[in-house]
Amino acid sequence: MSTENAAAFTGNRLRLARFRVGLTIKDLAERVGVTHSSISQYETGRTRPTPATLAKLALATGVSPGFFSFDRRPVSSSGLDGTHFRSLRSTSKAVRSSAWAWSELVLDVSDILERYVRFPPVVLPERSLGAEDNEDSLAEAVTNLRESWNLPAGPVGNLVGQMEAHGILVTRAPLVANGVDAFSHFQGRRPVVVLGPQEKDAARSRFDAAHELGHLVCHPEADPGGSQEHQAHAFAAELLMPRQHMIDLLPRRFDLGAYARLKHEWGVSIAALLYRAKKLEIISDAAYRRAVVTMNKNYGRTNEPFPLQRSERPTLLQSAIKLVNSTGLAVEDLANEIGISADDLNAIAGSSSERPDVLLDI
Amino acid sequence: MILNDGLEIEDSLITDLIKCGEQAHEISQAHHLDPGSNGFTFGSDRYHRATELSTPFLEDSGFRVTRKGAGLRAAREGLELHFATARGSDLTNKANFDIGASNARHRAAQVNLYVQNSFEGIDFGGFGGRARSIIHVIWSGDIDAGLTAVYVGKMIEKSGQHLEWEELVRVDGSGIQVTLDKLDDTEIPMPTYEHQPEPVFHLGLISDEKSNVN
Repeated sequence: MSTENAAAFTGNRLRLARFRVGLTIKDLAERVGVTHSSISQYETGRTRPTPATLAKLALATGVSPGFFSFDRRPVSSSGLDGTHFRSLRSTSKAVRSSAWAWSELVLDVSDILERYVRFPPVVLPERSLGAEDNEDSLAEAVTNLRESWNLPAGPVGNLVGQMEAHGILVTRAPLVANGVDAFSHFQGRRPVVVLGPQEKDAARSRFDAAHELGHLVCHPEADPGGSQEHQAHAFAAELLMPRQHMIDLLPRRFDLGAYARLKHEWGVSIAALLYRAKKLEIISDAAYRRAVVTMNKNYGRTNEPFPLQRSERPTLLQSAIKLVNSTGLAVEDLANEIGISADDLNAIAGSSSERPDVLLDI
Repeated sequence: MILNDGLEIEDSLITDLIKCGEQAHEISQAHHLDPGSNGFTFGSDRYHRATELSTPFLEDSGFRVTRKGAGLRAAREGLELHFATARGSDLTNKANFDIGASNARHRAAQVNLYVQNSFEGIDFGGFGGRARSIIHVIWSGDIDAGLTAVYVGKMIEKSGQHLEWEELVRVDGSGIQVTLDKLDDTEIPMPTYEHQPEPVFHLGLISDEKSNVN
């Protein structure tokens, strides 16, 4: 088996495994006991490791040797460059690489599952925007999405559920708590959105999801550092807090009670509502700053009052796994096909052992 | 809100006083760059505007409003409100709010001590016939930070000259007015995000599809 894996070895899979555990080429070379250039040659495909070295590489990266020869789909060719990351300045390449590897594993998992389960088709009304496009173009993109997805007027309900119902793979990755709020890409057969951990404020997490949805709809090509982040933010704001309603609903003066009520009606944070009020010129820049200072002083930056009661959990992958399990195929069997552990598979699907409630009978 | 000694100030009045403080702060801030302005004129301006804006709300709540020098006084049975401003939100910090800075504050603390130590039914002759506790309403904040807090407090005199807060309640944002129960009073015009219909997706086994075709 090891010989077969060595023969079918692909360098991109080794790089993916290395990114997953956040190792540099030098770190991995030291752990495996080979030279730095050997690892480079494995990853670029110039040479292949021996079965013995392959076993060491698997051990060092926490995967099985079969992971390196998983050939059901190619690793996304654009890699990190094709991924929509926010705050490039505040996150290291290692953190982003690790996060991106998580999203690739999500594609691996969905690929295996789709051998057995029919997933919802991808419905994504793309409206490609450039730097020259204005707020009207964004509003049009949001309107297209609402019509295409048949979203009722007013507040958007379970946004993560809507995304999954329209074929988008959504997962929560604990590892991205390390400076990456959320990210997305559409390089494989399905778009992937990776959100921050469950513990994060539900209102902020909904906005993150809407932001990434904005990238998927408006930015088929990622352009880090350009106008795309601003546009995705504006898309999320228009989707979750439509201008036509907010103009009438947002108070002209900062009133915590009124903002808290809107938070619970629309499922968005008070911070986002305040920013929306400023952008729509309902309150002045100075009033916005004062309100933010007041909020930070009273509650801190990360402890917004009146938290939302319901957080949105992705369920598509775990539902598909349960369906496959019903045919007699165990989680371990699925994990083996990819070359990862059952724990990793459960974590990607959002059904880790800390959440036994998802391990239900069908 | 009900203070420890049973005195009550209507929540609606507290809300109005907070709003008056915010409004006064915004107006004073807008005028802060006018010729001749400085940090002292800002604080004084904010105080006077806040008390002027508060007057109609106090009168609506049954208070008789008077001015003693620059200070606003609002009195009704058993209760007299005095008003003040402070730089910071910590009113126990002397740099933010000097509790014993004025004769008026000393007198208020003495009155409170006198009323507290008296028995019901006694004629309060010692302080001009007033049988009222004196409660301070303090708007906190400065030109940079904005209006950061609003307090309602009662001070007393301890051991001669030493004043301290016997009771101090913060009543803005984190205080008594804003609770989710009260937010539900207003009718919601459309389904909230939680009441929107849940998205539905159906997953099916591919093997089942094939067997159905066959």
